[in-house]
Amino acid sequence: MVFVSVKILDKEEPLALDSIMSELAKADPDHYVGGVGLFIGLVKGDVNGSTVFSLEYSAIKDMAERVMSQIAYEIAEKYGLQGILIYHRVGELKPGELTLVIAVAGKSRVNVMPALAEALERVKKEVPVFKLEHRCDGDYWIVGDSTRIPREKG
Amino acid sequence: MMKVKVKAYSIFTEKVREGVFEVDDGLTVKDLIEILLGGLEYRGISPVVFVNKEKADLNRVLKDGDEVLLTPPFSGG
Repeated sequence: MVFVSVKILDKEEPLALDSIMSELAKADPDHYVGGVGLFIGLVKGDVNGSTVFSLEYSAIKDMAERVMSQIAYEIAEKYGLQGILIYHRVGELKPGELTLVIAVAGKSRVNVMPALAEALERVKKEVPVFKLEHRCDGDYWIVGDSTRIPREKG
Repeated sequence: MMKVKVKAYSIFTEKVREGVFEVDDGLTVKDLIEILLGGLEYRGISPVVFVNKEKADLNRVLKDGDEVLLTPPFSGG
């Protein structure tokens, strides 16, 4: 049976990598897992030569968790994983802070690495999360993967 | 007349105020977007529309009490 855990976390809520590892370990008492693939997203401090002060994330929380759960189960089935976690943070995050953690646990790198890459691409495109970038040269909405539109203040 | 609840996200918050709007019976998603945005896009971005948390196409006819969400393409990660 596959272990799935997905969460949208407010920035105040703890997100510790060692607790993620222990959650995965607890779900695999017989040690079928031979590898864990881990992606950690961070806020970048520089975009196109402009200093980033912070990245403000928002989400439609219930929809986001529903979609993340669907992605997790589909990826787990496709790649025969033992476990998958997807935790996405929201709120105003500073450069260097964690934004997203995806951990996939499987028998070997052969299924773990492509599963991780596909999960990440799907999270970026399918989960209702939005970004507002606060930079030294103004505020920018990030629309889709990387389109930046200066914010108009009313 | 009927009431629909509207909530916008990201760039659409510049144009659309969150709230309950009284609109004509039989209004479609397309009609509502045109009323709210003054067209089918805002600043070059077409909204992705959800009605009661399910993705909706432009021809969907709205009902009294529907909740309509306007979002840009998502940017997770």
